[in-house]
Amino acid sequence: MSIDELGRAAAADVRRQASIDVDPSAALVDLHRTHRRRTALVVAAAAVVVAVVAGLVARGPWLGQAAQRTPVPAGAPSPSPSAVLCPPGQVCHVPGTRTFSVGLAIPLTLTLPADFSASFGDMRRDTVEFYRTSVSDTGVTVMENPVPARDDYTWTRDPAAGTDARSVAQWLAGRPFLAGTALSPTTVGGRPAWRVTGGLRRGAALTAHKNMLPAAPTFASGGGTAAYWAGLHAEYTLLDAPGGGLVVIWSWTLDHPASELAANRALVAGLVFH
Amino acid sequence: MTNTVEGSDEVRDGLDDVVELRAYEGFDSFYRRELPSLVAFARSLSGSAYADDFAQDAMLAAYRHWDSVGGMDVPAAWVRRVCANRAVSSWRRRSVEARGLLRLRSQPPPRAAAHDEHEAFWAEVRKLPRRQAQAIALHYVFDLGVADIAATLGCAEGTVKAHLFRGRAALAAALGHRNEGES
Repeated sequence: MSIDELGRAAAADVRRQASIDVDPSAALVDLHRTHRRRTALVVAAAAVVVAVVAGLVARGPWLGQAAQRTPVPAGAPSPSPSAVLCPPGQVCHVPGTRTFSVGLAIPLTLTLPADFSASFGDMRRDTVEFYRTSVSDTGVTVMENPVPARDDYTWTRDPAAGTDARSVAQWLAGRPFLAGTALSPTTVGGRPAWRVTGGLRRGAALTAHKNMLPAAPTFASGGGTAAYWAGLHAEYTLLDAPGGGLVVIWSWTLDHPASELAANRALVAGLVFH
Repeated sequence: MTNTVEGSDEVRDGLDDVVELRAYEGFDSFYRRELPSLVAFARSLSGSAYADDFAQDAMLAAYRHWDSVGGMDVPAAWVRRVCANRAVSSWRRRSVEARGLLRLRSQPPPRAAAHDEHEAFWAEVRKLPRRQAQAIALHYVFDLGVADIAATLGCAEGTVKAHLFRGRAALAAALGHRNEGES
């Protein structure tokens, strides 16, 4: 067989396989959804710029007037850029900063550490992801009010788990597929939280699938799932949101040493839920 | 966007809406026709589990610029070029792969080819210099000639001939097949 004949046969094969796998109608729906989401981000960013400019104009000449501002009572929230809350489903950026507001069900603001991309991913009503720029396949996923998942393929609530952050953290630390787990107190945006570390136990039963790989399930929300699987190092931070609700922050790195998780902690600690 | 049929009683929203409707229908039709072969192209060039996302990203770019892309003589050439560049760019690959990492509803892992020998062929294509790999993949996956490949990649026909010649020679040597272009 000549190289040309081999090339044509290989091309016919890859075309045939793609025609079997690809559902253009479903993919088209996904494309329109992605386009709407990205357009909303652009509009939201523009709205923030307009709001900030309008605010500056309304204040009038402000150089030298800092001492005349109304005193802020001790303990009251400071009028920082992070107090700008974004509409649901949108991300707002404070121009000239790395401060963002994410319109999740429980509104979130943060200042991105330098090593994180300003291009967020997988944003849904209750989920958003942040990615490291200096190392691939490493990031942080925020899941709001997720369901602690049973150790099977159903991704349904495990009745053995509690509902508040501390009890769910204890449940997570006791998952049978984990080894070397530790539960420690920490803070997220100044609020008390609990961090669960540990790794997949050698020989553990992987009862679910994620990204077509056998996986040990941990949490499921309307928008996504979290799990352990081979090659993935992870740690979780859980907290009770203001006004109620559970927030799970999943820090992960795939096919890299677990030490990469340390740099994710700067982002996790700076997340502020409102 | 409602699925209004042009000419039906529902098309009463004025000229602007009709124009917009036609533009959208044009893209959707283009998308359905071109996506499978574009995915095949992305798989052959990237070999990544996220090759389908490269094709989708290229299509999204076409959708955003459909006012101009849709008016081109060969819109498919534009989207193939975008896809070709994304599939061989390591920076863009990392970005797309990171975005795809945690998807809930992932598709079955795409395979570049079912046959071991075909898989090996594409693996060797991916080792070629960037432009050679793109020219070879365009030639075989879309069955394009030299002129069409040159138009797609935005280079001279002579350059494409050189890429195809060198690429085939390298593939033949690596895979132990005869290269008829050299005989």
